[in-house]
Amino acid sequence: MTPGAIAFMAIAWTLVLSLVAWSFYRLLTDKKDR
Amino acid sequence: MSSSNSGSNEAWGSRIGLILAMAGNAVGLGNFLRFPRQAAANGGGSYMIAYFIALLLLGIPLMWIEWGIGRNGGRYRKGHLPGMFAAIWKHPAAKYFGVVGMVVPLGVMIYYTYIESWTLAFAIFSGTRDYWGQTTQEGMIGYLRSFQSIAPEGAPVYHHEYTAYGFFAVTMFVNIWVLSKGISGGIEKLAKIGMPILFLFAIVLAGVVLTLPAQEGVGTTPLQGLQFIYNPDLSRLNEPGIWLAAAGQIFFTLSVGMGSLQAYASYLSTKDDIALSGLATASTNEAAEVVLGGSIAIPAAVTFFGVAGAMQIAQGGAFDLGFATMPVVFQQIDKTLPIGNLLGVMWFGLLFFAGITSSVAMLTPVTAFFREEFGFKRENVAWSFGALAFVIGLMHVHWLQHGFLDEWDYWVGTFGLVLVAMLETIIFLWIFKPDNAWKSIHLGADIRIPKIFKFIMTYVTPLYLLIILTWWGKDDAIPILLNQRSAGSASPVSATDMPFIIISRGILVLMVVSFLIIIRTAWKRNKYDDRAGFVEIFTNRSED
Repeated sequence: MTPGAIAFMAIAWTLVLSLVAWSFYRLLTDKKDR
Repeated sequence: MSSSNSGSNEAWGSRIGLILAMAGNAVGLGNFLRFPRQAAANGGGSYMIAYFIALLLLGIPLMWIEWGIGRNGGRYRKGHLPGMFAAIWKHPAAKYFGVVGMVVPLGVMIYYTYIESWTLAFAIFSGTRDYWGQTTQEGMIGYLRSFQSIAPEGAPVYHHEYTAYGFFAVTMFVNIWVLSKGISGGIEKLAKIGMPILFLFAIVLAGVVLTLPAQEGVGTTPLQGLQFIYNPDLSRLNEPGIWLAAAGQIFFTLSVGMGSLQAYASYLSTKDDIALSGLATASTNEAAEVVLGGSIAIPAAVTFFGVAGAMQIAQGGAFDLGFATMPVVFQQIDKTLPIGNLLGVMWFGLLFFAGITSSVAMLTPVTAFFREEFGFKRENVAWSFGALAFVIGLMHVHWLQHGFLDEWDYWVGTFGLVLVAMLETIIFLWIFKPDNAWKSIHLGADIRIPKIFKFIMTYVTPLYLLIILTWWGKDDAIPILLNQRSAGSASPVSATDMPFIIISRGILVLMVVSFLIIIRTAWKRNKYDDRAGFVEIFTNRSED
């Protein structure tokens, strides 16, 4: 893989996985959940 | 979670259950078959940029719009688009526009369940090594066509001609059985079991594929497959086709424009959050698609067929990639690591769970309609429509080679989705007004959505949808109607196939007309006043 492709993939994966982690963190720590 | 405000005592058992069911609805066959093929065939990096922009301007806004419309409909015990539209737009025409929200999910469910049945069959064929020995792409395509009973005359036959019918019957039965058990007793339980299995299988498969060594005589590695998808070649960004392909994929992958997300959201109360839940659903789907979907089929194809071979496969179609290329890959892996059949079970198993968690959602709007407007029992509606779906589905099985399925896939599974999304965006944002829509989405919200999205939802999303609808209309819908090309290929429908295409379109028209009459009957029966709107439900009713 070229460095450009690695960087591109890293950005895409980080974006998606960060969104998942953040939203599930908020969901699981929300007091309304039971 | 708060109890449902949809007027029945049906409700989601837990918030995680809701998210898993919503994500299950979104994560489908497209995440693992269509996305990698599209990314590889459309220039990698250019496509991915267009894809993420479409996610931001189209996918996530539509997700919030659909959750908002659905939850608002639930306030009036409306789990279907005719009722949801009428709850927002107090005009006699509103309910009739909702007919698309009945025909599209029912229509897609019928042929989607058939495709889903292939995954069940191939999971079993993998476990029993039934296709072992078909070690070339061409050999596996022949095996697949034999299963579908569309192999050309004289070609080898591997299955009894009714095998596909049997798997379709079993798959439809399982779908309807789950649906008949209700929201928390059926759909939520399925999601809680199916989604973790799906992710587990996908992670294992991605791990195995990405650590494959270069093959003798081929010389390419899985990383070159990732290079294929993430190649930062931005030179194709000026091609409209790339943007349309990416926008189309966002549509398919998030299951927006279907009517099913709205139906699920109608079982939420105004005390429940939808802003964060909608975002969590979209991001879970994206993780399944971008991270896992992109790491299995294309890297595997590149490893065993080389870059040129994989490119050719990607151009060939998503089904050949999933049902012909991958079985060849598993047989190749099996030579050094004797778990090829297990990997096959996992691959087709994950596709099956991705499919079934989507297809059960598609029948939810129709079930909700007949329960809420005619007082029918859920089980009765589910089994009656299951029987109807099965009978119509048999035509898809029997006439697959005549383009019957392709025709429906275009009109309800492609064009119909954008039409639903366009209508709901206009009704929710423009007729209901942006301030009311924004307020509605934020009722009970755990997060504040950045205000820029109010502008995006009001202007950018509808404009984006209008461009897609116009472009697809010009490039596909009109040429298909004029038979300058067929729904499944660039060549026109042959004289032999034309009668089947006419029947296919005729059934769709009949479905639209029937639902328009049924909607009118329901409104008369329940003496709804279109101008006054519905009475808000505050307490739960007893189970139907």
